[in-house]
Amino acid sequence: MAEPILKVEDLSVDYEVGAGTFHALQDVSFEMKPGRVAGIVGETGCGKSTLAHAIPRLLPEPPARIRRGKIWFRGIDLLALPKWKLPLVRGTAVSMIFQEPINSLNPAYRVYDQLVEAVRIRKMRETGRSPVLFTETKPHDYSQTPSPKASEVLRRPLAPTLPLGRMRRLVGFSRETFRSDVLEYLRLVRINDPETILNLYPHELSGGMRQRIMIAMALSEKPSLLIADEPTSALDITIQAQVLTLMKELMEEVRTSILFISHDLGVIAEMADDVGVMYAGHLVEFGPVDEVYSSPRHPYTKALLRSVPKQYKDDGPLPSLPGSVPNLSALPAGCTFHPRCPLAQPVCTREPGPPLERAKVAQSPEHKAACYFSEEVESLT
Amino acid sequence: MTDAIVEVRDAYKHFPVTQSFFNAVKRISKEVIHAVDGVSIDIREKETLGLIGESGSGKTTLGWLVARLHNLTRGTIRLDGKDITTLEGSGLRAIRRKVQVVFQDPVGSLDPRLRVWQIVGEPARAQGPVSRAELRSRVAELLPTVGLPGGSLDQYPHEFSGGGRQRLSLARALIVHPKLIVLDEPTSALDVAVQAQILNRLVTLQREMGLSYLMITHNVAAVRYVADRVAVMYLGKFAEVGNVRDVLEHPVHPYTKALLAALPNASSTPPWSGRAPRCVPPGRGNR
Amino acid sequence: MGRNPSDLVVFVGKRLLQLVAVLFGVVTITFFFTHIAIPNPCNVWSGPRATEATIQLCIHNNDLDKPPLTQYFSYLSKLVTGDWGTSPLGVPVLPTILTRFPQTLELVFTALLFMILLGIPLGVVAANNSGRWQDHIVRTFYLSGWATPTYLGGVILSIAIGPALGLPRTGAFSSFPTFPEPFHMSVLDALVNLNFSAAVDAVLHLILPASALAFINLGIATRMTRTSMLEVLPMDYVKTAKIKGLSDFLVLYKHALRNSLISTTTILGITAGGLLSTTVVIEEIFVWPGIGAYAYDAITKYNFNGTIGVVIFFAIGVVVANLVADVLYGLLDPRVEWR
Repeated sequence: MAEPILKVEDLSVDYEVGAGTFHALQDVSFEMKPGRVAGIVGETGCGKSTLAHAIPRLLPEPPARIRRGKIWFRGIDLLALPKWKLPLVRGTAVSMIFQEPINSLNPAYRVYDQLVEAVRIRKMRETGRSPVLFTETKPHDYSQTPSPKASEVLRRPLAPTLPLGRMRRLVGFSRETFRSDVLEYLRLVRINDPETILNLYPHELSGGMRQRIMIAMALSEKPSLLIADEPTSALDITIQAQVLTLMKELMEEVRTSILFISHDLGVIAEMADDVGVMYAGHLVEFGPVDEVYSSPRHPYTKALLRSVPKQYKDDGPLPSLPGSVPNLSALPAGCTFHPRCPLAQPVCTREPGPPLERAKVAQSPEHKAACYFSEEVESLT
Repeated sequence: MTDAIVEVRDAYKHFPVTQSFFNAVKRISKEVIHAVDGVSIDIREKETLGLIGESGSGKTTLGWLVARLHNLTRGTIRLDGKDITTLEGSGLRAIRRKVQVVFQDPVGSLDPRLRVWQIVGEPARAQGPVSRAELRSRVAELLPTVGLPGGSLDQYPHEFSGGGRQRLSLARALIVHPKLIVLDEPTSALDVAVQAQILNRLVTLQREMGLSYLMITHNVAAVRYVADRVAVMYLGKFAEVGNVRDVLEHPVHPYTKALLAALPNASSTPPWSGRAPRCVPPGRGNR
Repeated sequence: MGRNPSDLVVFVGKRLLQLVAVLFGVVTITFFFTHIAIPNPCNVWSGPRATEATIQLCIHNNDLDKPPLTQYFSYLSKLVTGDWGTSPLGVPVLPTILTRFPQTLELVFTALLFMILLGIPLGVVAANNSGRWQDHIVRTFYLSGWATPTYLGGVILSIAIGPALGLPRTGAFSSFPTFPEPFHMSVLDALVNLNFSAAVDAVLHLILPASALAFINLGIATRMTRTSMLEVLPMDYVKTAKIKGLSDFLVLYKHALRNSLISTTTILGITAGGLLSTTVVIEEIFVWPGIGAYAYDAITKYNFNGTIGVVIFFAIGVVVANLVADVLYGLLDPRVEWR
């Protein structure tokens, strides 16, 4: 099995605000295999967005504070990097798409100017004009792509060395050099009329279009890991379907590893290979998506899956999880889920919840759950 | 039809297109948005009518028309057989007792400076003078029916979670014992686990109190559980109206089919692409 | 879709029409205020030892025996034809103002330059380090400028700090060579005449009064930039800029500042208009030969024509500064439509 591209170990993040300390993430550990899509699902405030922002170190510090943990990305601990080296990780190594397409593009610049920045950064790093942290482009693999022709672009001669070579080296490339690259990436995200789109401002585009441009921008840097933080939650249902379809197709073509954050169980089922379920800052279950969905090994996962309404009114009441999510600044002692858990035993109140470990009676070794009684989850109705 | 409490006949609602500069100089052009474009529908007693569609389809406008939060451009609305299309003043206040609205945003629709008993009791006060003690005891009785502790009378809305606030809105609507509650995206700001609790509560209340609901939502799963009949709206018109099982399991209109296919979980990709056009008459292009 | 350049022309045209209305109002108000406040300035104009006959002659010569409305209309009609009257000593008003106004503009522009080059980066630094020591220092700095009365700041600079740095204390160029003055702006004129030593001298003379003027208003630019940066920094597009791998400098100054400048520009436009009136005090302290000093002189000497003339130029300055700010606002924010 290939080396994991991302390995998060015991990541704990607090938010220190006036009202107290909120434990947004508690000892979260998981691994991502290259070329796979890992979904993270959970309710509002479970810490999934904090996790997404912690990996490329985008959390605002303060109020956020990374208390403990390591984020191993291709052999480097991102949490140990000095602040000035962070831009070198972002873009070409880790990129991200945000939830609100209305806010994620800069309203003051044309689409072209925003896209060309991304392409330029990649080219500067690829040609050694600006420093890099990761030299080889593995495990990112564009060679299998028939339609985007990204590899072809790379074989094209670079900007010729002029007498002012030293100057050009400092200045980089001219603005128009990358026009064809930018157009190519717009076509990659199925924008039919890229020439026109280039000269528009973000406010002149629809939400779905903006999200496509965000995807193009992220992919144009060829990141080895793409984090998608609720990329379709703000879109209408048919537009969401279009964007999801596009992302699925791109996953075939581009084969980048994706960490896909969503609150929507259906979206995760469509997109992800593996899924992690989060509850109150803890990762309570992680495993291949089919297995987790068909035979969950944590009572919260089971309850969450059953809450999705699938029946009509005359079929009887919806199975629902009683109680509500605990306050992150005053988590219950023991396993955080025990006050709502039908399987709770005295040990669950006494001892802190078990670490995420291989679930008992699970089919595959990758299926992990953080529950003392994971083998009994199946019997829950 | 005799058992219809609301009859909407040939309703139109047009909004002028306004453009603003610094929000100061407003200019009204002759262009209009056809938000609701000639629809007719009945809402029957003890029935839930689900209204589904995408943003800009006019579903919220239609709901607001029924609650008379907007005035109709053309057409009529009858409540309990009485024409309420042009009611003003005290007549309008009287229908507020029969029709209540629960809004989408549980944060923005509750005044943060008021206490629970004031918020929930507000519609009752608007109907006539009530003593403070009477109102408090009435609210205290009502809170458990929406699943809130009766002792939370003096709390403020920010002390509640999103689901708790939506229960408060529901209690506020119930206090005048309305016949119809317009539910405007009641669960779209909530997570699935909380949504299931609220949906169950809605169904229980309907059985106990004989309520009718007009449920406006883009959430097909929620509509499936709550509604008896479903109307699918597209560009201000109904694409399809019918029994919930018929519409969701055997859609006839191509738009309904596409909408259902677009739901995540469905294995196939949507049969068409392109963005829903805005309801502006042709001639003004938009991307 | 998008904006039409011709919309901008229409927009500017409309605003200039408004300027005419503003000027009319300003002239009317100033005229009646001065004439009601001092109904008979001839007592002063004719000097302490004037005879009754001289005063009567003065009254007659200046039409002061006619009804105020008649005086007003005859003044207006002369104003439109370009005859702005003379001072009590017979010096024509318009030519004086035309040679003095550019000097004030030079002072104001230099002060604005200081405010932009210093005030805006300070605001960025403060916002980016919000709550930390850099923020506290910047806030103390601009609040002290704000709290200092205009004259006090000027006096401190001119008496204490200026000499300590070896800068000339006043704008009166004693050592100034004579050469043709096409612009009536000392630095520009010296440069045009290729007289570089004079240009350096003029710049040195500018530094103190311009910094006095800028120091007082620096807080506005800094505070506005800081506030709007604090609004912009948590926006998703700043995160987008970071995740692209841009350096912190580009994220701050290319992506975040560009959007927060939108509100700073509006404030700077309003401030620039206000700076003009502050020059009355500053020019007096630093003996700067602009219209601020002239305004002071005109008011104290009951020079009505001069006062109204200065007020007209101040009004034009304020309106044009706001117009420029609005145009810049639209250029910075592509979502604004010219209407």
